[in-house]
Amino acid sequence: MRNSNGWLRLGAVAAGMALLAAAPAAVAAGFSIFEAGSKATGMGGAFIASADDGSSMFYNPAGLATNDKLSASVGVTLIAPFSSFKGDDASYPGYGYEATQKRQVFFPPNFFVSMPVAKNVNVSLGTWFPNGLSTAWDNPDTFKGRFLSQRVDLKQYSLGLQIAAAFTDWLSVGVGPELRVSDVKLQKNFGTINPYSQAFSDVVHADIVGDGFATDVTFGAGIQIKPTENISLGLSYHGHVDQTYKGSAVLYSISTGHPDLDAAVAAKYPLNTNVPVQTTLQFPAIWMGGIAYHDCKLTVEAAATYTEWKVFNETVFAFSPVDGKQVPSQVLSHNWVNSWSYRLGMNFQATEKFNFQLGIVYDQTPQPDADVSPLLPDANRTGYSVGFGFKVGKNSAIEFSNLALFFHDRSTNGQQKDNYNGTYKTYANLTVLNFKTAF
Amino acid sequence: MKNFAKTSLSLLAALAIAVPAAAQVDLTRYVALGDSLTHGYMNGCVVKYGQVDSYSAVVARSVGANYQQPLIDDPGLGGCQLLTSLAPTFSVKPSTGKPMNATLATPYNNLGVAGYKVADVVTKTGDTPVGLTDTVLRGQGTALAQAVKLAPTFVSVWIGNNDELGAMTSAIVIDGVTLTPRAAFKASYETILKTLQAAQGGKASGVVMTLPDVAMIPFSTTIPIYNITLGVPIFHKSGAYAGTPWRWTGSRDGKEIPFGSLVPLTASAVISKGYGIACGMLDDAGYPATGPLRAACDKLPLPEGSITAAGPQQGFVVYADNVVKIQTRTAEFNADIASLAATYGYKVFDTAAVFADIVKNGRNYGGITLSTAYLQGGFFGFDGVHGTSIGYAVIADEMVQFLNAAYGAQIHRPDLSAILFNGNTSGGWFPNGGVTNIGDTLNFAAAYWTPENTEGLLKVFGPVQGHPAISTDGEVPVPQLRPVIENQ
Repeated sequence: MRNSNGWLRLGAVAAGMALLAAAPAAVAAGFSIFEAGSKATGMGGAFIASADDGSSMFYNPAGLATNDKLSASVGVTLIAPFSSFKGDDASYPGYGYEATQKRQVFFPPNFFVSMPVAKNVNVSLGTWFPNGLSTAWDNPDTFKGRFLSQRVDLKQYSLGLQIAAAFTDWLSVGVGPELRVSDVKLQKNFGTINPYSQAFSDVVHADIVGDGFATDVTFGAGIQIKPTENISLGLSYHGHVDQTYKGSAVLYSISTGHPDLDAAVAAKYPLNTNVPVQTTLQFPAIWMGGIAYHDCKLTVEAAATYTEWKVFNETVFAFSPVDGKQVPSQVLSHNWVNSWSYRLGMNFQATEKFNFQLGIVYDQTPQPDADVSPLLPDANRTGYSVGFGFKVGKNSAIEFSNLALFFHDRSTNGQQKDNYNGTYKTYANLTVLNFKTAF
Repeated sequence: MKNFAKTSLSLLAALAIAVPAAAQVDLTRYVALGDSLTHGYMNGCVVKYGQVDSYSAVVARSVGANYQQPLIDDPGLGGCQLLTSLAPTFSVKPSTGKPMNATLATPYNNLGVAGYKVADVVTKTGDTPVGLTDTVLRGQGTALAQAVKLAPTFVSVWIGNNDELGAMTSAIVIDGVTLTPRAAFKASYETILKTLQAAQGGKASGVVMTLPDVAMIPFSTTIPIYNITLGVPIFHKSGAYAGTPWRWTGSRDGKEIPFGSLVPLTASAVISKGYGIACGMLDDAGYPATGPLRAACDKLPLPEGSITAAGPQQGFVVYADNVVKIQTRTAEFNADIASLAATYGYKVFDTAAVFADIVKNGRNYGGITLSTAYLQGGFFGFDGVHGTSIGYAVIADEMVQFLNAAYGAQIHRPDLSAILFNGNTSGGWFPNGGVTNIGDTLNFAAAYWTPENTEGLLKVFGPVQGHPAISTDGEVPVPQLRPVIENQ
C-alpha cells in the first residue's frame, strides 16, 4: 500500500466513501466489471471506437478529445445477481446437494467530468468500479462449502485523471493516471476431523477484514483513429495492479462439545483476538479494441477485450503469530488464464431527442475448473442489452440501459481442487442510470 | 433372404456393441467376500453403525441394489471402542450385540468375516465356540458356498489381508505361522475364483482387490522408530550414526533397531514402562548420570515376537528385515491375485495402489483433508488397522470410479457428505463428551497409550498372548518418562 502524498490520501478518502456506498458483484469475466456508463452498457460494451461520453475514461480515454463543453455525468449501476449450486455426480458435497447465494443488490456509482482546456484538448476526472466481487452463501453455518468460503466481498474503485487530445481530425489520444482503491473481506470456517465422532467438526469461524483500503496507481490510455468519414477504430488499455491488504482476522471458537478437543484447538489458534493478516491480490491489465461504422443516425461497433488474468495465479493469506500461536497460511491456487470477450452494439438516433441502443456480449471465463469454488464461481456468459437516451432541455440527457447477463452453467467437471464438485447457475441483471449535462 | 440375414446379424452385432455400458455392471445380486475390511469391522467390533457403511454396502447403495448384511445391533460384538479423551483413552462397550436379521431366507450379500484368511473362505463353516463367523454363515456352509447359492451377478473379493497382517500385529514373522505360504494362498485363492466363475456361468463379472501394504497403516507408523523418551528426538553426536536420531533398542541384539524397522501401536504398553532406552542416548542428551532413566537404559530392549513352549509371544518391534519379508509376501500375494484374475477373467481393483496414494496425498473434501494419521486423519479407526465409516466410504467411492472406468459404467458416485459430517449414515452412536485432561490434550500428538488401553488393542488383533517379559514387577522402577510439554 502506498500513502506517499496528500493527493493519494485525498483520493483514498473519496474512493473509500464510494466503496462504503456500494459492494459490486463481478459481472464481467473473473471479477472485473465492464459497465461504467449507460450508453456503453446499452451497446453491450462495444464502445471503444465510438466512445464519446464521460465513460470514455474507462472505455477509451481518447474519446473525450473533441468535447467542446464542460460536461458532467453521474450515474449508478444496479446489479442484481442470482446464483445457485447443485452437486454433480461426485462424492462431495454429493449428487443433488443444493445451495443458494443470498440475494443482494449492488449499486456502484460512476461520475465523470470533462473540461476543454484548449481546442481539442480535454482534461477529465472520473470514478468507476473496474473490479468487484461478492459471494454470500445462504445458511452459512450448514453450507457444505463453508470450509472454503461463506462470504467474500471485494471492491475496487478507480479514480482517474486523464488528458485527451485530437491531433488531427482523424487521430485522438488520451492518457492519465488511475488511483485504484480497494478492500477485501472473507468469512469461512475452519474444520477438522473430530477424533471422537470420526467426522468433520467446525472448530473456528474466521472473519478476515482489511484495515482501511489498499491504494495503488496505474494508468489508462487510448487512441481513436478515423480512417474514413464512416469508420473509426479504437484501442485502449488499463494497467494492472497488485494490491496488498493488511488487516486482521478474528478467529471465533466453535465448540465441538468435547472440552479437551476445544482446548487443543485453543492451544493451536489465537482465538477471539485480532490476528494480523496480509494478502495480495493481482488485478489484471485489460486491452480493448473496436471498429465502428457511423451513418448519420446509426453507429454500429464490434469490439473485443483481452484481459491478462494470468497474473491471478495464487492468493496467500499470511497470518502473524500471536502469543506464540501461528495460524497456518491459507494458500489459494487459482492459475487463471488470459481471456477474451466479444461485443457487438449499435446506437440509433431515432429522433433529435431520443436514441436507443442494442448490444450483445460474449465473455469468456479465465477460471479453470479446478479453481471454481464457493469463493468465486466464474463462468462464460452471454449478455443482451438495450438502452435509451432522452434529451432533456438543450444540453442534458437521461439515459437508461439494461443488460441481462446469462452465465453459462458452470460445472467443475469433477476437477475442483478441493473436491467440491457441482454446477453453478448464475444470472445477473444490470440496470444503469445516468444523467448527463453540459455547460 | 441371405442379404436380409446378413444385415440383421450386422444390426444385432451393432446393437450388442451399443448396449449401454452401465448394463455391464449388474449389481442386482452383488456378493462381497472377504475379511474384517469387508465385514465393516470398525473400532474393534462389528456393529450396525459400522456395517451399514461397509465398502460393499456403500457401492450397492449407489445403484439402489438390495444388499443384505449380517447386521449386529448396538452395542455390537467384539467390544466397540469409544474415545473418552484425547490422551487418548478409550472405553469399550460390552460385547453383547445380537444379530438383527438372522432369519433372512437367503445368504447375506456381504459374506465378509472378520479374521478370515483366504483358506477360511473355502473351508470354514463356523466358530468353536460360537463367534462372529456364525453370525455371518449361520451354519449354511462356507462363505464361498453361500456366495454360489446367491448366483451372483457381480462379486468383489478382498481377502488375504490376514494372511500377512498377523505378522505385523504380533511382531512375529515366521513363514507358515504368521505368514501364509505363497503356494497355499494361491491354491485357496484359485479355488475361490474358479468356483465363482463357474457360478456365474463363466462370465466372471466382478473385481478382485489387492492387499495394501501393512507397513503403511497407522498401527505400524504412529509410533516412530526413534526414541522420544525425553519428548523430542535425540541425535547421535558421534560415530557412524552422527546426526541421526537415536532409535529404540531391540531385543535381537540389545542395540538400536535398524532404520526400516517398525514399532507397532501396541508397543506403547512397554515403552511406557521404560523399554527401549539406550544409555548412549541419555549421554548424548546430557541426561544426569543418576537420573531415574539410567536404571532402565540398555536393560529392557523392545522384545521381538517369538514362539515359545508357552505359545506365541507378542513382540513390540518388527525388525527391518522382517518388514521386508512381510512386504515381499504381500507383493507376492498381489502378483498371484492379478495373475489369477487374468486367468479367470476378473478385473483387478488395485486397492494397494489406492491406499498408497491416500497415504501420500490424502483426500480433500471441501477444504478438509483426510489422511491416514492415527485419530486425527479420519481414514482409520481406533485400532489403527481398520477403516472408519469415512475410510470404507472412500474405498467405495474409489471402487465406483474404477467400475465406471473399467466397465464404462455410469454408477453414481457415493455421496460421502453424510458420513463426513455425521461419522456414519446411522447417526447417534457417539458418546457425549469425554474425560477432560488439558495436560494430556496438550501432549496429544506425542502421548502414548496406557497399558490398559493397549490390552484392549491387543484383544482387537486376535489370540496373540501378551509377552511375559513386559511385566515390571520386581524389575527396575518405572521412571517418569516424559515431562509435560508446554504450549504444544
